[in-house]
Amino acid sequence: MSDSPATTTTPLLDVAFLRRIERLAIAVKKVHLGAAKGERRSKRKGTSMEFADYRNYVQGDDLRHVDWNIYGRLDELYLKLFQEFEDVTLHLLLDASKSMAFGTPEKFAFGQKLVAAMGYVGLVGYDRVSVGLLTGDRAEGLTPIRGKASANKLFAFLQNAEVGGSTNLDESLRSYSMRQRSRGVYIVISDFLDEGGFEPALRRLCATRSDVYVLQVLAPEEISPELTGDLKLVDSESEQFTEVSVSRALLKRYHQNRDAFIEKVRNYCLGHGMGHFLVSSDTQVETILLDVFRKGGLLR
Amino acid sequence: MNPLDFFITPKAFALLGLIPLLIVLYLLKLRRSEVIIPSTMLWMKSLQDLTANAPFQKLRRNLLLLLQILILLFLVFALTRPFIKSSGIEGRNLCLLIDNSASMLTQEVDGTRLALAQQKALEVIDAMERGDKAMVIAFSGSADVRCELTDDRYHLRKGIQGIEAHDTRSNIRDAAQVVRSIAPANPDVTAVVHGLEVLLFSDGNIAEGERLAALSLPVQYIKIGETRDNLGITRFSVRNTTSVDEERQCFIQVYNDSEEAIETTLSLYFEDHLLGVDEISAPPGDTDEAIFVLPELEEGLLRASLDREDSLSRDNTAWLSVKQETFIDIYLVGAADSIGLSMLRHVFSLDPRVRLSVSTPEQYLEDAETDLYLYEGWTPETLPGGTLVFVNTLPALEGLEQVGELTNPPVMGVDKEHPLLRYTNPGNITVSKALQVSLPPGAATLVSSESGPLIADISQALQPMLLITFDIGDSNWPLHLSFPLFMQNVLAWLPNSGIAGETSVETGSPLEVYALPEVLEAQITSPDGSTVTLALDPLRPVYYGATDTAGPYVVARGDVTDFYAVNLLDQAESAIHPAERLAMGSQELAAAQGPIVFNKELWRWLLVGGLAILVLEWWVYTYRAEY
Repeated sequence: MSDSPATTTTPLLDVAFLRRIERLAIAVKKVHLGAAKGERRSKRKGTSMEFADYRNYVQGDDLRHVDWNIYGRLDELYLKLFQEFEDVTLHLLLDASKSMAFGTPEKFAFGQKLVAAMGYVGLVGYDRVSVGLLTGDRAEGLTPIRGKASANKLFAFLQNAEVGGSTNLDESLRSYSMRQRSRGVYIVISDFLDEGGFEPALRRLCATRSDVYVLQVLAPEEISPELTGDLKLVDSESEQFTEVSVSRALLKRYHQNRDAFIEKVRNYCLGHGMGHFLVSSDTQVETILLDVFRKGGLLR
Repeated sequence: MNPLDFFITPKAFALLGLIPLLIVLYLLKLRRSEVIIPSTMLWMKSLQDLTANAPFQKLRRNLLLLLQILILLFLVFALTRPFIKSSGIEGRNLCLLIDNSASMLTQEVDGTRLALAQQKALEVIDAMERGDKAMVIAFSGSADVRCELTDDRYHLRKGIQGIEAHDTRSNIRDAAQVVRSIAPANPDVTAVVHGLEVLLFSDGNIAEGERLAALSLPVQYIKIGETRDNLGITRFSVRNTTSVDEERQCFIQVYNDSEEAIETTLSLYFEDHLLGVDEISAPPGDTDEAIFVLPELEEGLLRASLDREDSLSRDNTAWLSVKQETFIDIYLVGAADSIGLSMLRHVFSLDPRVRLSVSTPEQYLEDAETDLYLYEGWTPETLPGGTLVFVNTLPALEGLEQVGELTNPPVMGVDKEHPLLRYTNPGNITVSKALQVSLPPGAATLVSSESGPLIADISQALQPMLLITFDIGDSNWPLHLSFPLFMQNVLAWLPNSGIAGETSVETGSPLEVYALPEVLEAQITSPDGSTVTLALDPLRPVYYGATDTAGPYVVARGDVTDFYAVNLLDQAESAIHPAERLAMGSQELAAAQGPIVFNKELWRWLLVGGLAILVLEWWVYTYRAEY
């Protein structure tokens, strides 16, 4: 029995599901420098059995790495380099602004599950997992964890997470990157309904030269709202209101704008080499991991 | 024409004042329910797009308001009940007033005016549509509701076809009263008929037309008739000249309503004997007179007749009943030195009809055969026939007895309904002394004091009797006007007193028929030959009202036969030219031109329009910006 918070309250993910996703691994497209030994091909040359390259000997190099066979044939000193395998940091960034606390099911709850599942996949794959909750203009972070044993720590952190503040992706990402500079895989889960625009935030992520995946989460109510009559729509974050008389034309226009917005995010992501997924908060996490992410090349 | 004339109730335009209220309500706006959503970003953008792309966006913002104002306008206009003239009738309540006065008997090319009016009225009935109702009132001197408001065309046709002309003056008063009883403008009636329209079929000359105007109903005057060729007798009377030889003259006036001067002759007959012929030369629109000197005549009928055929024959003949002058014999019995008796003698002698005889009780003649016996302070053993008046004495009648004496009895009550107290009120007389009597059953107290009657009607069966319980000399009654008036009423109370001289009764006016002694029934024969039996009242005259036809009426009471002449003698009816404009008090109503048109009200269409806009508003509200 475990007395971790993950088991005292409703567990984010059930054990059977965790078993099933243990087989998955994060697909890293770029080669990054790792922080510790791991299973990922690193930019660093090291000590593995896998040959990587030759290079000229320079003064100070370890003589143990000199390829003496070549020296015998060519009378020149070359160093034999081997591939280094290191871990990669999986940055899971979850938007925790108030706008995420909507939908059936809640976009935030959905994000929690997704982060937990992806984090678990990362931990199982011996990667470092760093979680950032983007609230307002700052990011609450979980110190990077590693190893399957840290899964409970991850789940507990997520379970205790709460929404608050308004969306300011750029500022909160800046706050996050101040602490976590390591490259790796960035997965950002947000609705991207940012008054200030999503572009600066994504540009900042792009500048990390990491693998960036953007998960745009929308609640079913946002995808096709079921509002009628004369309403005063109040923004959950800014508390600004808009008076609308919901008509078919307005709904039609809303749908057009919604599609345009999604398209805009997608185009921006693809144009900057980032992966983009649009998911509805009522989608099963299992489906997303086993189907959407695998097809999208995020998981293998 | 005033634009407001196209609305039946233009007052409803005041409701347009609701428009500012509607705008104020719209400005206050509807209360929107608050919905918290993740972000208004997309909505605001959609809203901006919508307003930016929609044409007439400012108008669109207020489209609902405009539609509501439009609905209000439609409703207000519907309430003002606008109408257009239409040759069909729809859901209407029509009131057909058909003139059946004497002038409607005028012969036109196609028949009498009444027949033409009936024909036009039948056309209206034929043009009635589903939901229409009509009522038919014939009017002359009085109104005759031929058919109540109904949609039953059979009864309406029957009602119209059954109308007969009367030889009376046309007067709209009674008909207007009938219409008023169901008209919406009448505040006293709850069950009113809305949308009532009056169609007046007449040749114009209508008395009291202002009553029609007072109805505040749409009236159409359908002029009937064209011709104006008529010469009619408008006056016929006999008079005594004031000259010494006191010859009697017959005066006849004729009126020429045609457009040319008419020269003809006028014949005067007594019974069937020609008394004389005079030449008549009447200029157009004017009168001429003929005067005949009458010889001594027995009782009978004078008849004046114009020797010319014209469009209206009813006014070409007039009658006059000649009666011998009758006298009233009064026999006063009382003490020679009685003050009261001399007062009575004085007051009766003022009437030229009265032949007075006076005697003391000692000289009393039992078989005096007079119309009225007056006993003062003395009563004979046996009472004679005829009318009896007892002053300060009591006859030997069952139930009538003296119970004491009254001193200075004040007058307490006066029965104003009794014919003897008509136009007079002896309520302020002072009596110093009177007999206190108890009256027999059936007697009526005319003037009462505190403790007994002062004057009482003690008529027995068929014999009129009057009791005055005080000596007239013991009162100040002779000093009051009520005394001679009361005694005149006593004379009028006598049977036969009302008939004297030459009389003519206006058509439509009642004949006054008195009972004769022992005769309680009269046979009245109309000019058309029909006979009616009339029960008479021995104490008061009976009135016979079916005198709509001009001519001699023969009244037979037992062996006595009297003639009553009933004449039109009305210049307004002899003036048969149809009026182009109907006078209605201070207003005038032009005759309807062309086919008969009706107000076709448009409020139903306006209501339908309002409803359609309401549906449109709902549609716009639900699918806004789909236009």
